[in-house]
Amino acid sequence: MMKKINFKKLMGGLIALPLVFLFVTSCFDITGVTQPSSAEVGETITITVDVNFDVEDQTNQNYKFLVFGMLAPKSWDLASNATVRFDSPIEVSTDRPGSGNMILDDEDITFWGNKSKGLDGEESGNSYTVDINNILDIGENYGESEWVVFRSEKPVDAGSSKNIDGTITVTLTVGSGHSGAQLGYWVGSHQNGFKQEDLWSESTQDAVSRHWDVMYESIVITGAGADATDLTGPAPTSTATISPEGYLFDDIITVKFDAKEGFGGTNTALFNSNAVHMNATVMMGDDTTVTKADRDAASSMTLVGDNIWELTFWPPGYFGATAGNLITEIHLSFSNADGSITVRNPGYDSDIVFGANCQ
Amino acid sequence: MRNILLISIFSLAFFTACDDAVSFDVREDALVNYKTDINGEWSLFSIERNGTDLSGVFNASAMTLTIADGAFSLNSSALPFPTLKTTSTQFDTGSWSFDDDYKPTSIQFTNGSEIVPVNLSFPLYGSNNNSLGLEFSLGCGATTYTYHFKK
Repeated sequence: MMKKINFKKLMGGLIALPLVFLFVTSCFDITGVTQPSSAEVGETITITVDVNFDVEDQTNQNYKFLVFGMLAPKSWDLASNATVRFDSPIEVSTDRPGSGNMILDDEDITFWGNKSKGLDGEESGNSYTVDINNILDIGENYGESEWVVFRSEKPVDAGSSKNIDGTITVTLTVGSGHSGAQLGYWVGSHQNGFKQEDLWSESTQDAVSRHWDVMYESIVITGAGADATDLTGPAPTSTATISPEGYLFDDIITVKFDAKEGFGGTNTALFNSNAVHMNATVMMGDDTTVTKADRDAASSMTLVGDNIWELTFWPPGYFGATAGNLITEIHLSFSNADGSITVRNPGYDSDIVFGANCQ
Repeated sequence: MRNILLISIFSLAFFTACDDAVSFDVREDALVNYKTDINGEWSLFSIERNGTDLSGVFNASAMTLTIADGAFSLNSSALPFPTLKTTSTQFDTGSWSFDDDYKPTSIQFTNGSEIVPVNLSFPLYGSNNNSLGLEFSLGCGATTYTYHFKK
C-alpha cells in the first residue's frame, strides 16, 4: 500500500531546509567599551561598544538578528531614553544590512526573532528581556538596575566574513537617583541566544561564550542630589535611619536603629538586647575623621518601640566640629553594653553610611 | 398691654444709647510706646523640631541665653543655636538688636561681620516678659526649630 504523501509537511520541510543552513554558528566578543568615566544627571552621553563578530569556519550565509542588552539603573529608564545603532563594514543587501538602528525588544515572542534561547541553547519560551535579567547578574550594583534589550531592525548577514569589527553605539540621557553605577553590555544574536558553549578553538577571543559576550564598566554620576545612592556601594538599609527627612549635619538629628531589620529580613544580633549604644565616625570637610565609639552615656540609645532604639543629638556638639569644618558623612554601627556584639550594615560587614540629605 | 411694655423697654434702651459714651479709666503708661525689654537670663525650656517636641529625647535644659543691654551670651557652645552653625563663623557672645524696638518680630545676633537673624515665634510685651520664643533653621532650610526660653 502506497504511503500517502503529506504535501503540507513536505512543503514545510523544503521551506525550512535553507533556514537550517542560514543559522550557522557565530562568535561575538566585546573587545572594548568607550564610556565616560563620569557624567552629570541630565547630560546626554554616547557610549561605543566594540564588537568582534566571527562566523568561525562556516561558509553558509548568516541570517540573524543582532541582539544587544544594556545594564543601567532603573531610574534611567533606558527603554524610553536610549537610542542604539550598530555599524559594521558588512553590506550584503538592504534586507540584511551591516548597519542600522536597533529597536527596543517589545517582548512579543510570537515573532520568531524575539524568541530567546537559554544557556542550553533551547528556546526558553521567554523574551530576551526576561532571560537576560534572569541569566546575567547586575555587576557590582547592589540592585535597582535592569537589563534593557534592543535588536537589529533587520536580520544581519555576515556571509562568510571572519573577524569583522563593528560597533554598537548607545546614546542616552543620564538619569537621577544614583551617584555611581556599573553599566553592563551584552551582545549576541537571536540564533543562539544565551547558549553557553566553549569558545571556538581557533578563536582568540576572551568572550564568556562562543555565542555571546558581556562586559561591565563603572561610571560616576554628578549632580544626582543629596539622597542619591551609589549603586556600587552598600545597599541602603532600614536597619538604621536618620530623621528629620531633610537634614544637614548642623541639624539636631535622630538616629533610629531597628534591631529587627537584619540581613534578608532576619533579626540583627542585637535583637532583644537590653541596651544599645551608637558607634559613630564622622567624615569632616578637611578629610579628617572623628570617632565616638566608647559606649558612654551620651551614646546610649533609648528604647522607643519593639526593638527600636533612638538617639537624638546635635552632631557638631557631639563630635566637637568647629566652624568651617563641616561634617560630610556619618558612619554608624551599634553595640550592646559591653561591646561584645556589634551590628553593622547587614550583609556587607561595613558601617551604615549616611550623607546629608537636604533638598 | 404687653406690646406697650415691650415698646417702653426698647425706647429706654435707645435713650440710654443716646446718652454720653461710656468712659473707662486708662493707665497713663498704657498710652506710651515702650521699648521691648528682654534683658535677663533665659533658660531653654523646650525645643520643637518641625513642630514635634524634642523634650525628653534631647536635653537642652543646660542652655542659657543671657541678654543685657545690647549684648548677649550663651553659656555653652556645645548646644545647638543659630549662631553656632559650622557653616559660618561660630560665636556665643556678641550684640543683639530687634528689627523693631517696640513691636519686634525678629531679633538679630551680631558678632563683627556675622549677622544671624532669628524670628520671634510669638509677640513680646513691653516689659515683664517671662517667655521668649525663637524660630529658625540650623542646617537644612526645610527643617525648622522653635526654642522656648523661660526666665
